[in-house]
Order: sequence, then C-alpha cells, then structure tokens
Amino acid sequence: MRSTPSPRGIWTVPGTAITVAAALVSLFSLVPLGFVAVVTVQTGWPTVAALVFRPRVGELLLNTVLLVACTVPLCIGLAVALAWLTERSDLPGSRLWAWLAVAPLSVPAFVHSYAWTTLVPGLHGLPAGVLISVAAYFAFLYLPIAAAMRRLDPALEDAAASLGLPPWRVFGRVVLPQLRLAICGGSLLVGLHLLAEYGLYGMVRFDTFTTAIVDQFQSSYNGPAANMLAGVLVACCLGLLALETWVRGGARYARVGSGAARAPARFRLGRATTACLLLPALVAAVTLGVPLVTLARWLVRGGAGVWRASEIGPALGQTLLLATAGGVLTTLASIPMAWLSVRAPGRLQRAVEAENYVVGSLPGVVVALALVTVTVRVAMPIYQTIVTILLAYALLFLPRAMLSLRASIAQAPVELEQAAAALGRPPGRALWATTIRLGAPGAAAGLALVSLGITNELTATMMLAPNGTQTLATMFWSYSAEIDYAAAAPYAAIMVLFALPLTWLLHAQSKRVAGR
Amino acid sequence: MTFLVLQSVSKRFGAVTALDDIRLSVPQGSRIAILGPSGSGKTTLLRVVAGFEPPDAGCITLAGDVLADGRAAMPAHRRGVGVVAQDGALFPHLSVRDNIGFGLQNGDAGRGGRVAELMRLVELDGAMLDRRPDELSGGQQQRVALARAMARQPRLMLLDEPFSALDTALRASTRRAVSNVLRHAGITTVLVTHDQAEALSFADQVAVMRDGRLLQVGTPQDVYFRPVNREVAEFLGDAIITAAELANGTAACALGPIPMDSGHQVGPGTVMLRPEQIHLAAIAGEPGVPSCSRPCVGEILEAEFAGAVCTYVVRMLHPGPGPAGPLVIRQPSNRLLDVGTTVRVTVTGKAHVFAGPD
Repeated sequence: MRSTPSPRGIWTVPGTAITVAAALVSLFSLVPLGFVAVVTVQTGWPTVAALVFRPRVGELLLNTVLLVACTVPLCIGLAVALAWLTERSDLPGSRLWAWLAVAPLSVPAFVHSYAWTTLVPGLHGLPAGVLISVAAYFAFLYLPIAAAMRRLDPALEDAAASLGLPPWRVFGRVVLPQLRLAICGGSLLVGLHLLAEYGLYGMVRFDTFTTAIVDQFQSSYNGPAANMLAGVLVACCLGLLALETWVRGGARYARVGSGAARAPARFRLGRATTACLLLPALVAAVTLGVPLVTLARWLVRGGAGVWRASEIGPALGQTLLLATAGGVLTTLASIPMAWLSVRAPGRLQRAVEAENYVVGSLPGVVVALALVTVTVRVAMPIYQTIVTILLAYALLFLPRAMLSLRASIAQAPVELEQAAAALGRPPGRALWATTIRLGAPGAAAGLALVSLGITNELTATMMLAPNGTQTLATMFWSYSAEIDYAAAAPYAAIMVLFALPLTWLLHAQSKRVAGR
Repeated sequence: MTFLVLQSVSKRFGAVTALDDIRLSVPQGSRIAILGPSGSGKTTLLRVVAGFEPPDAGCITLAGDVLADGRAAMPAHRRGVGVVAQDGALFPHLSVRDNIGFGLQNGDAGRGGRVAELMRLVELDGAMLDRRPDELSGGQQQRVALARAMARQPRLMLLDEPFSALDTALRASTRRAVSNVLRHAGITTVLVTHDQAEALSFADQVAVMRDGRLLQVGTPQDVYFRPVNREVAEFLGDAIITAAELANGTAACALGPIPMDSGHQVGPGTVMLRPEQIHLAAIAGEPGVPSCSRPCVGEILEAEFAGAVCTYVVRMLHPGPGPAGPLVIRQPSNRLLDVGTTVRVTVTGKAHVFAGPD
C-alpha cells in the first residue's frame, strides 16, 4: 500500500524553500540601492553638497532632461503614426513595415551611433543624441502601441461615430486614451534607456550622467565624485518611475463585455497611400538603412583584412561564455520569484516585485560602480573576476528573465501539479513533470533575451570584467575609439546577426499576446 | 407614415451574400424586430443602417433623407442614429457620467442636468455616475449604453442583440425597461435578435431573416400563426406540421377535420398548428365506446417531464391522408399522462395552410 502524503499539503517543503530563495535573491538585488545610500551617508553632507550642487551637475542634468524631453515625445508621435498605419490602415505591405519598425532593435545603440558619426562626421551634441536615440529606441514604443491597437475593440469606435464624432475626433477621444497604458510603459522604457546608455552618447560627444560617471571612473576609479553622480542618476531614474506611475494613474482599461471582438476595419488611405508610404520608408531608412549601409560600406572597405581570426575568435568565445553563463544564472535566479508571483501572490511577493522593478530600472553604470565598491571593501577575492561581472548581469537582466518565465508559468495551471500529485508523484517530481516542463519555453525565451542583453552590454562589462577580457562589444568599442572604423565593423556585424532572430522572436511574441 | 425605407439593399463579403435585395419600410414611432439565426445577415443589416458599412447596392432613406445610395453613404457620425451594441460597448476609460455625456457638447451648461435626466429615465441610481463601466453589472451597462445613445435624441434607435449577454431573469426585466423608455420617447426602433420570444414581445413588426433574405415581414401574430413556410414556422416556435386534404374550408389530417384559415384551397396541402391549440385528455376510463374505434385518438409513446411543460410523443391510431409519423406535442404539466395512455386529441382554433407546396 502506498504511503499517504502529509496532510499539510504538497506545498510545505518546496514552498518554504522557494520563498527563502526568492528573499535571498531580492536582498542581493538591493545592493546597488544600498550602495548609493551608504556612500551618501558616509561621504557626509558638506562633501555631498559640494559635489552635487555645482555647475557641472546642473549642466548634465539639463542635458539629460533635454534629451528625455525631446526624444520621448518624438518617439511617441512616430510610434503612434506608424502603428496606426501598419495596424489600422490598408497601407500596402503593412506586415513588412511592421517588421521593419521592430528590426532596429537588433542593432545595438552604440552601433547606431557609430553608423551616424561615420556617415555625417560633424554630427554631435543634443541634435545628434536625439536623432540617434529616436532611431535606436522608438521600437520600444512601437511594439506595445501596435499590440494595443490590435486589441482595441472596434465596437467602441462605431459607438463613438454613432454618437456624432467625425473620424479624427474618434481617434482623439476613444483610440488615444486607450493607448495610454502602452504609451506610458513604452515611454518609461525609452526614458530609462536614455539615462543608462553610455556608448551612444560617448560617440557623439554628448554628456549625460552616465558618460560623466564612466569618464570619472576611468580617470579616478571609484572616487566620491563618481559616486555622487551615480546618486543623482539614481534619483533621475526614480523620478522617471514616479512620473510614469503618476501619469498612468489608476486607469484600468479592461474590455467590458464578453465575446470576441469583431476584427477592426482597416481605414482606406485612397489617394493618400503614396504620401503615407513615405513615413515608414523614411523611418526604415533612418533606423535600419543607415546602420546597415554604413556597416556594409566599412566591411567592403576593410575587405578580408579586418576579419582577424586571432582577435575575433577569442572575443566571440568570451562573449558566448559570458552570455550563456550569465543567462543561465539570471534565469535560475528568477525562478523562485516568478514561481511565487504566480502561485503564492501576497504582500511579501508584491514588495519583492516592486523592489525588483526599481532595481531593474537602474543603469549598468550604477550597478557596476556598486559592485566595484562592494567587492573592494568586503569581497576582495571576487574583485575583477568573472563572478562579479556575472552578478552584475544578473542584477541588470533579472526583470527580463522574470517577465518571460512568469508569463509561461501562469499558463501552467496549478491543477496540473495537483493532478500529477493525485497520480502519485511526490511534490518535487510533480513540479518537475508539469510546471517546470510547461514553463521551459518561457525560460528559454527569457534566457535568450538575457543573453542578447549581455552580448550587447558595454558599460558594466568595461568597468567590471577581469583584465584581458574582450567581448564583441568591448572590441568594437576600442576599435571605434581608435577611429579604426573598418576594424570595428566585423564585431558590429556579428552582434547584429546574433540579435536578428531574437528580435523576430520579440515581434512574434507581441503578436501572439495580441491574439493574432 | 413610413420613416425608414430600405430599397433593394445588398451587401457581399467576398463569396458570402450578407444582404440580398432587402426591402423594408418602418413606420415612424414603431418598433421592428429583425429575427434570424446567427449568420443570417441581421447584424450586417443593422450596421449598414447605422453607417458602419456601406451597402453594395440599394437605397436607404430616413424621413426622406438619403442615408445611402449604392456605395455613396453618409458617414455614421452625421446620421443621428443611436446604436446599442451587444455588450454595450461602453468606453472603458470613461466614467458612467462621461460615457452618457460623450455625444453632448462639452461646454454645454445643461449637460449635467441632461445626464441626470437620462439616468432617471433608464432607472439607474445617480450614485453610479462616477463609477467605471467595469464596476457595473451587465444589465446596468446596457442601461448606460441606452442612456448614452438617447442623449443626442436620435431619430432612429438600433439595438444589436442588447439583451443576449444577460442572464435569463435580468434579460426580461432589462428588455421591459428598455422597451418602456423607447415607447415613451416615441423613438422608431430596430431590434436585431435571434431570440423569437424577444422579437415577438418587443416589436410591432417582425421581419424574419435567413441567409441574407427577408422571408416574411408582419405583425408578431401574423408571423407566429400564419408563417409563410415551414422554415419560418419552426423558427418562431414549436409547430405541428402535417399533410392534409383540403376541401370546403376544412383540412382533414391526422388530427381529424380542422377548420382552416384560408377557405379557397382544395386538394392536398400542408397545415400547421401551434402546440397551445392542442389538448390531450386520457380517455381510457370512459365507458361505452371502444376507445380505439373513435377518430382523433392517439397513444402516448414517450413522455418527458421538464417542469412547467411536458413533451409527449403521440402516435395517432387513425392517421389521416398522407404520411404522418408520431407527433411531438408539448403540454402544460398540470395533468401528467403516462406512457401507453390512450388520449383524445382536441384542436381549438384554425389550422394554418401554407401557401406554397410546404
């Protein structure tokens, strides 16, 4: 006769272990924020005031604010217009244009910058920063807005028309308000990238907090000046988060009513078709044409000579190693929290998730600075080892892994685990046979996204990697810094090739979420 | 006075003919129900009248104004036609107040008063004004949708299965409330539904639709008691349809000789009776006459009890002319009959004769 399972239920042992693991991971992810707080306190108020309230910080703040204030609205306008054209009008080739709008994500931001500076050598400062930022990041807004447009219930637009509104006012009063959540979320993502990016602005000589911190770090290591700039940068990120929360408000746009929505009718462009084709064509030329053509030009100019196997081989190997190890570590670290947020939602889990959200918004430069300081002070043995850089990747990309994993665990109903238990599997094996198995595709997608992030990561890698480590991104960066653009081109080309399939995956996922 | 007129309106979606030569005229202030199964084209008809789709051909006029003439159609926002959709289609980002006031001018001083008046009209509590649509029940959502559509005092109101998403009890009460509001306001109304009871109880006129065509248009009594064919008869409710020999205003059929509703037809034909015209009574206990030798006598083969009604399968012992299988007859279940009972079948009223060959 089979032994009866304990009456406490099948969750007791794994549940506790998972909660403890999740708590440990989230405690560790507090390191960067804790670093900023501790350093500020230790530095003492007079020094902090002297370092923060000076013209240089004001200049950086103005630059950063201007960059965000110019780039984000431009991205929103462009993304809404393109999403409307590709999703709601009869624009010829709309599926191709939709894919072309997402594809620039496979070009790392600093490669966009490289393409533009070599194409237009005089390009620099704020205009250059804004132009390249729009090209590099507007897809982050296009994806959610296009998905939201596909989900809109056309019955609402019909209702508004029957209430006497002409089409353009229907768009303003019914369609746009329903895009608010997508616009807010996408804008936040773009804003955080603007704050965190180093390579893009370094190349066009536009100073932001991040470039200033990296410069400080490279000249004086972890001096208080760099630390205080990091503090201000963290404050900017938190400000963006708060702003987004405030603008988003308490809005819930649940579709009222039941049943499948009628497929929306596509607006007939008629004679405006040709004019409307210009917009996506122009966007594709700026966001995709310029980097790819420039890259191709450098590759041709460099010829076979730039493909130095002795350099590219090790860089590729190290990148793959870091990307795989970092991806696996990050995915493993995300399992407890993802499992908790689906299976045992509660106050602790919500707090952990909110914290995770804030930590995930911190720039790589802050994370790197924090890990340098902490390892130097308390964990010298791992200073400048591969362990530190992997920990930094885990901190930076934990949210990406969690989102994918949580979505797929949520699709594995707990009843399956219970059914497996009822069929005689012990708890651990029941979990393995059902939820883990069903969550595997999500975990794989998360792992791929994290690995891609690591492949294109520049700032933290430069600051933390052991001496002699050369990844594709750092090799590309050092060759571009020496203005050897032809030698840099192969590294950029390999990074783009790696990213293309993943960008396709992202595009396909956003369509599946929308149910089409 | 005819108000809404559709002349030869047609609409195709690819290979599917959604509307095939629809002709319809609706008098001012009246209520018409378009009744049909799903896929019959009734919602397309409504969308064409609302202006959400242009017809391929045909002409639609409202109080003399041309709404559509072939593919040249007046856009929806200029028609002054109110629409209540199946699930209400309330704007999820707006409160109840802003939903109802959506079609009113923003700067209008009387806006607040008008919204309050509409809330009273559809019998909703004023405390709900600041709620979001997802905080309302299905019935309340439909009332808000009606108030929103009435705010602009439309000339014509289109209801697209507005009650089908509600559960049974709520459906009846919401339907009565909506019906009263529209009747008092005197608004010409077109209701689209697949529920025959809803169509019959709501409308002055019922138009039965199938495969994009209107099969019959008439009063509820007309289409129910005098359907043009078997299809319409069965779509509107249970029907006992049987072959009969017609002569001298009488139809001789399995149920005996029954007076028919049109006197001039002679020869073989098909007649229809509604179950409420038929009464079954057990005759086994009656003394004197051997029961099996009398006409209009049958035997109960099956009985299915379902609460208020009971369904019997009855085999007539002296079938009339033409083929007649067992009859399915629903009866109120106040006197239950057992399987095997011999019953007398009595018919009240007249048998309806189908005009064509079935």
